Amino acid sequence: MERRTLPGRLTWQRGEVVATEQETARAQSITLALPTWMGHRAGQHVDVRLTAEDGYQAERSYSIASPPEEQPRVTLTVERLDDGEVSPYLTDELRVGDKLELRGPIGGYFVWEASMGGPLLLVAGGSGIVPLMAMLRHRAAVGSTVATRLLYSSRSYADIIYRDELERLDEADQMLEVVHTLTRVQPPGWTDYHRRIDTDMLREVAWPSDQHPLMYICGPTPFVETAAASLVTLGHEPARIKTERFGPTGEA
Amino acid sequence: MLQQVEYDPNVARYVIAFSDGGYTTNLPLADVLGGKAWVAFSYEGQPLAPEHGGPARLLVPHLYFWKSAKWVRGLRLVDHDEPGFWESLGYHNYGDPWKEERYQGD
Repeated sequence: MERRTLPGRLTWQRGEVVATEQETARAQSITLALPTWMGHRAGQHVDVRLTAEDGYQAERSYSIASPPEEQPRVTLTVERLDDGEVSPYLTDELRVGDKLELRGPIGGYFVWEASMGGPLLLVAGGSGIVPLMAMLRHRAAVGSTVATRLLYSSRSYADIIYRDELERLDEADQMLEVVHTLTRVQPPGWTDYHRRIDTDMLREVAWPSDQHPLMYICGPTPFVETAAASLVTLGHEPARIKTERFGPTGEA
Repeated sequence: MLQQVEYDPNVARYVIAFSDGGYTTNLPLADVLGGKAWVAFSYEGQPLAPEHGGPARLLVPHLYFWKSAKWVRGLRLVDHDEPGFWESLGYHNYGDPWKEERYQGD
């Protein structure tokens, strides 16, 4: 009797790199064509596996930046960590036409779909914007009018990932508001926030707690802890706050 | 524009601007009369671009810009105030930038 293994989400598959885009000096987007992709939901991630010639393997998780509506193409945005084993290869060496081994989608918790409604509060620190961008792109792709605010903390103007696209989305949609904070360097004339996120900032930007927003926070661990604790202090229900953190410990 | 419309100034005291896509914003009628606001449909001789709210955008320079509704389809005169889209989600009902009226309670 023939035994076949159905391709599942935890089966490794090889995708072909069909496009790359430099987002900032440190962040690069990689678009893959995945023939057996099962589809994903905005907010999920994948595992990427690199295999060296001697058989040594290294695996890392990366968030999906593209919305489900673009499948079977999937875009990852990878931030280069200078002492990383995997990210420097992905940002510096990978070329269009190369193959990349991955499995996924993974994670069913940090997910937003337009049918879940809102209002929606997204809080991003640094490359924590990536899964939240998938949510914003999904929201735009399906024409959702869910009231949405994004608070995005970056070190400097040049470090804002998807800066132009966020501006376009903000301009094109009266039900979406994008607010930046730049923690280290601000360009002349900068009128948004210029400090690390804190309770006062979230009090201004977040919805009143009696609106019962859905909240998603993604960033380095200390950033996520600060944002989540502030939102709880402001009276938001912990059950409506979803967090995704990444290491190594850094700052946005 | 509102001079062409017959209404009872003792009854119609507020205006709701409604836009393509379902967006709304509320204003006291007095804030859009007497040249304090207008509907913009061109910029530098060209039709107003969609990203700037074209073909027609309400322009209320003395209030925060969420009051200047893009892609406006119409203005409804009403006798009572009712919060618009952002106003019902915690934004200030009036939105005077000089008083920094951004959120409810400011």
